[in-house]
Amino acid sequence: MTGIRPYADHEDDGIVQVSFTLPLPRGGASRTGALDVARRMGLASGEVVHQTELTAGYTYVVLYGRFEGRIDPYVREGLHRESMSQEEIDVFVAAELGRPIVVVGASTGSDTHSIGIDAMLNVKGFDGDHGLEGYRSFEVHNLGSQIDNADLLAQALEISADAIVVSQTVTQQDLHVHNLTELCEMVEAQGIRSDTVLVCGGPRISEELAKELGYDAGFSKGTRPADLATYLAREMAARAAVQARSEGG
Amino acid sequence: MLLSELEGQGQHLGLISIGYDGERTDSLNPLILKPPIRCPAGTLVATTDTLVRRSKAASETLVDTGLRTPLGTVSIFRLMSPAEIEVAGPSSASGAQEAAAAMLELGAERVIVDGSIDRRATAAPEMAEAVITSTGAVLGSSEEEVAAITEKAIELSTLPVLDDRRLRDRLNLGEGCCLLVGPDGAKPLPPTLPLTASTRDLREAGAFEGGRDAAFYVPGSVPESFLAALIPLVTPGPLKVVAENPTRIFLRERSPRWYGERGVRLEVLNRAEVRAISVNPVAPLSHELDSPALREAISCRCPGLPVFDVAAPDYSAPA
Repeated sequence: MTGIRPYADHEDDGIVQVSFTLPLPRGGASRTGALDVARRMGLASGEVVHQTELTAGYTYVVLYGRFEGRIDPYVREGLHRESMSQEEIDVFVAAELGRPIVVVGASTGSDTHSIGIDAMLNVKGFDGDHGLEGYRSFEVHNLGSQIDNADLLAQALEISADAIVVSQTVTQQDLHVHNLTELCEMVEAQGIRSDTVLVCGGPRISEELAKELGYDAGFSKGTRPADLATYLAREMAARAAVQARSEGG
Repeated sequence: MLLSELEGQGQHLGLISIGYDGERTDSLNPLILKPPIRCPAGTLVATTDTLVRRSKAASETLVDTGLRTPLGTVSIFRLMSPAEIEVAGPSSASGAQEAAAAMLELGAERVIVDGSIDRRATAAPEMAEAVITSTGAVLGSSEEEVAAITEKAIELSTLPVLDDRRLRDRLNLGEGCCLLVGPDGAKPLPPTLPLTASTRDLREAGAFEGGRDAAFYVPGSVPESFLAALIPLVTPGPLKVVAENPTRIFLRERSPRWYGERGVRLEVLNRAEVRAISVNPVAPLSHELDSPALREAISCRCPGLPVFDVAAPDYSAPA
């Protein structure tokens, strides 16, 4: 038997908890409907353990069910290895590069949300973790939200940015995908793709999606500024090492 | 399908994906199941060590490219037996070009580069000798709507090549510099001008002075905002915008023809070699179009290009 499955009470029991809202009044219909959802999700032995009527005609349901499959986890060569501290990053960048890493960032297209990019780049950061502006090892240009890809690229050219960091929060009709791929293609067209670290972040961004869209890295919910800073520091150091090797013949 | 057909011809193949292919579910929507990629023995594949191990394919590592991606560092493997494999190669066009060159060096007779969502850089003529454009029901709810969007993409890919030798000479090729070319010669412009310019900026740059012979040469990105800003400056004659190749032109709203009708004529120094169109009449978890009707609609709008649906019952491999 290979692979693993979730567990609740004892290892390998496969029990998962799912919560959702049904547009039904609390009662037998909401219970039956919830069990039907569980069945169609492929969960065995569905059991409704909680029901609350949120407002007239809408019921919030919590149910347990058993996931009978197994997943085959694999450990990748991680982009997201253990992060360094701010001080470690500043020392690392000074030693490896001898200059600050120039970063330009924005929320692009029609995305009005600047929370993600501000949390990563602005000095106040997120949950007690300074944004990249607070590091000695980064020169940060945060353009804010609703920035056109062309304007972001122009700014990257003006300041000779080492890295472009894009946040995409709006996800209706997968609009973020088109914004993200367009930026990647514009960077390619401008002839600076090899010299630029391209990073995207947002609630629906995964490493797999970042790869699909042509980015060097993708960060999702739960990312702290130190995670991003660590990635950029290591990636820039790796590129510098490759360049040094090629120059050394 | 392409892999099995080329295998049938006995060709040694190389396979690169600039995105991520062969995975079990779609990166955007995990409810969408994706077909596996089956490679014949001997195929050279650019992917990551982890994905090869995960596929349990018997393989040998030939080259560590050193190219890093979100899914790991890319190496070139030779498959020792037929295998289903997940392919995540270099993400950039230059990386794909590097990997393709290495595969040809290692004995591949043909290298297939699988594209990704809206990604066009690897279709550039310096990268690909031949391009298959993929389209399908995911773009629209009717055969005619999908055909119209496809026509726009093909129109862009097959823009006319600049054949005015005098103008070509004036472009001072090789300098990689953005130029405004008029009767009096070529004037260098800031590289960021096409990215940010308003009509006023362009007027100040002298765009209106060139008259009928005026042309912009933009070696980098040509955004739609640049073309729109040029429209008020076309009097008395058309303005020509010359791009390096079609993959550098970014049109979201309008077609090249629409701009041409308003006096902004798009030309390229090198065109993409589009040889065929493949269609998928199924939009996963949404709707399905009629495959013959879709192919017919696209053929009418894109004459001269063969249109294939490799999953259709009437599909047969081209000779």
